[in-house]
Amino acid sequence: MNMPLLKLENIRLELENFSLFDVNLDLFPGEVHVIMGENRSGKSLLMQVISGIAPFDSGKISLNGLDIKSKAHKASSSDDILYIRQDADIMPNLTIAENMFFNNLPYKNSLIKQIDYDKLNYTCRMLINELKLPFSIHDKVSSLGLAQRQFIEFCRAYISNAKVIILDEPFASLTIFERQLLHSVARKIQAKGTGIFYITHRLEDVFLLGNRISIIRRGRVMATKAVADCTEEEIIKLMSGQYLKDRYPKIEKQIGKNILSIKNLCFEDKLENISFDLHKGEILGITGLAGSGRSLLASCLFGATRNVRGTFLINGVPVKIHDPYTAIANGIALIPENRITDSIFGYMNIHDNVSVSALKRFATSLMINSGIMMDTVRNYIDKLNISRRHENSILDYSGGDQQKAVFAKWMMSRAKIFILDEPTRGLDIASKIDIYNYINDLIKKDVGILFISSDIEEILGICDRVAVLSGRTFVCDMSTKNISVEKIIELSTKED
Amino acid sequence: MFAIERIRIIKNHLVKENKVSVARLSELLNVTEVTIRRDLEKLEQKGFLQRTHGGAILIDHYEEEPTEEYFDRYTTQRQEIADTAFHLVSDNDMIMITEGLTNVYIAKKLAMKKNLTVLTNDLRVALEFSGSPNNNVILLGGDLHEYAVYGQLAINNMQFFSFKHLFLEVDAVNKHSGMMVSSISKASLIQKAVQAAEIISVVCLAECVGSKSLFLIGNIDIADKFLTNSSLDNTYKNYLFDMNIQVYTSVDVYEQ
Repeated sequence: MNMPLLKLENIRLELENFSLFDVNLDLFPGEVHVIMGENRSGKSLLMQVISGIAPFDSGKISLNGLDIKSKAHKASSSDDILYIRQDADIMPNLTIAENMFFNNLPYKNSLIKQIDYDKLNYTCRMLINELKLPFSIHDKVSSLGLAQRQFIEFCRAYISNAKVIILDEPFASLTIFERQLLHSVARKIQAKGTGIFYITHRLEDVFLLGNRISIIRRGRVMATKAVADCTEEEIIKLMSGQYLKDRYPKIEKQIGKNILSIKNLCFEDKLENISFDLHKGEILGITGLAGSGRSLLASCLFGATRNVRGTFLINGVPVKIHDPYTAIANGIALIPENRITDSIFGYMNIHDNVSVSALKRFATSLMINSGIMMDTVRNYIDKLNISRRHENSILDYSGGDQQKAVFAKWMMSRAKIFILDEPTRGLDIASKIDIYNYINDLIKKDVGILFISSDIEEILGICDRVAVLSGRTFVCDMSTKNISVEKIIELSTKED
Repeated sequence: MFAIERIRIIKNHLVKENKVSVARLSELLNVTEVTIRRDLEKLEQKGFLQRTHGGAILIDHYEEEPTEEYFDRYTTQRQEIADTAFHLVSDNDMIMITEGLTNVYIAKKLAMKKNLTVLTNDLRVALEFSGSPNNNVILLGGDLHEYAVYGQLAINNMQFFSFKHLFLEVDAVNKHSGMMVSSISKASLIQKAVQAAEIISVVCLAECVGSKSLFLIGNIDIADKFLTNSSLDNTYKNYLFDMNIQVYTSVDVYEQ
């Protein structure tokens, strides 16, 4: 092959709790270079470095032989690298055409930036026809689903003049039909001579689209190979590496009676026939790729999603969970993945955040006995090792302290079933250890726990059983003693 | 929740309100009325309150009398650690428990298990098991120092044993030096015990982590599990996790 389009030499970046070590990568024109790695292996960080969003400490990135930090390069163009992220950033108040052509709008009068709408709509319609996209130019952007928004992002990539395009897990949440369509767009982009870095979790995509593959683990590039020379087993092996699941503080606990039983849970076309049992004092781990519906399942179980079908049994008694209120009344607690938006009250202090779900407990007929309540809250904050600083808002505490306060809140409400959605993601190690120990306290006292995590090492270290969510349903449900990391990766990356 | 905390909360409540009702307290603290009555009885004996029908009222000018005997500030913490240890041992296991006050609490808890074989050099540990005929206890022989046996005889005795789980209470743990105890005879017996164990659980109050003692047992990395209480310093959580050691901070807060 000819000269590489993009070349990374010994890129290093040290962050507080993650680092990239001596990354060497290159990309040729018209090539699809697949980047694979486990969750949190550093793929997205590396792409941020390439696209200039994140800085790097040392090393060299050159585009067409020019150092991208050099003046010569800066003068030539700043739009050579286009980074398309999973959470498509679309402007909901603009039309489809405006969104697609945002970076190259046609002007009637370029001096006063008067947009030529006829031309814009015409080219947009031509593009939709050319790519056979499943929406019309008149659709409102705010009414589009995630998949369609990604089509818009893809079109942006297609019409742009970028030499390098980074696609970060573009197909995570799409149906097979939508994926095929996006594949064809990707091939067209490739045919223009544009180089594509393609991040994915799906093995089948690698073999369909990729020319070469690089596997990243814990901030290091483990190998770069031509896709034609690789087998699936080889890729899985390179991704999984060595695991240290024995350092998680797990206790032995005799599991008790069935506390939660779900039969044939279905939701729209996203979840299908999910059934499982949870016992007292048991931790059931649920893992799967991003977009496999892990968090969706959590909100279905908590009644936060409407029109969920299926049978729910709590302690053997059928119940209907219509809304979060009935879920809480039935002793279910949810600790959602997104702490800031979904589980804390930013305008309240830490004490009020802790007590908010347990107010009923301290209520006398009309009043809340705040003396005893504060005493109990302080006891929880002490015992759970939460910072004793006094700030006006919970937002002024560290992420670890916030998450611990969320745990305190639900523990104080004496819930019997805890649904934990990525409870330790993004936390420092000390807070993680604290949370594992809270979980131990809960199971000692017969609470049942659903532990959703994308960190397989953590799942195997903490849980009694593990279920893998893939292709809208559970593809396995077995004891963590009998399953390997490789097997879990294999189950979650293959569909059907 | 432990009795000590419950009593503290009742006291605070009483000081503020001057009177309490049994029914209300049992609801708030999530324990039975019998338990609350017992707590109130204790407080009455100390002269803190006077019991009335269905409740109690505060007695003015109450002064806490200083306790005469040696008072252990860490009773609660030791109980919490013992509770964790209880969940690390299965029925039928063979274990060894070394000398130490926290280990005595652990023994008290483990006495509720069935068919354990317990090797120990601490008389108090052995005594805790004496009331539970379900378990077998083997007491090492040797020179008696306070509550435990040590010396060449005890070390010689150790050669007959091999067991699954060792609960090793140390007096200090330090990143730079390792694990330490206060006497040379203790250190050498423990070194022998470590060789005979499959799983090693190091028991140490968080208050003693980071401090120093004179006699070195070995590096911290011989431990598989580290049992302590919830006030463990964050830097040590990081350090131990990096060393691939399971850290149990023995949280006990959920009210069943």
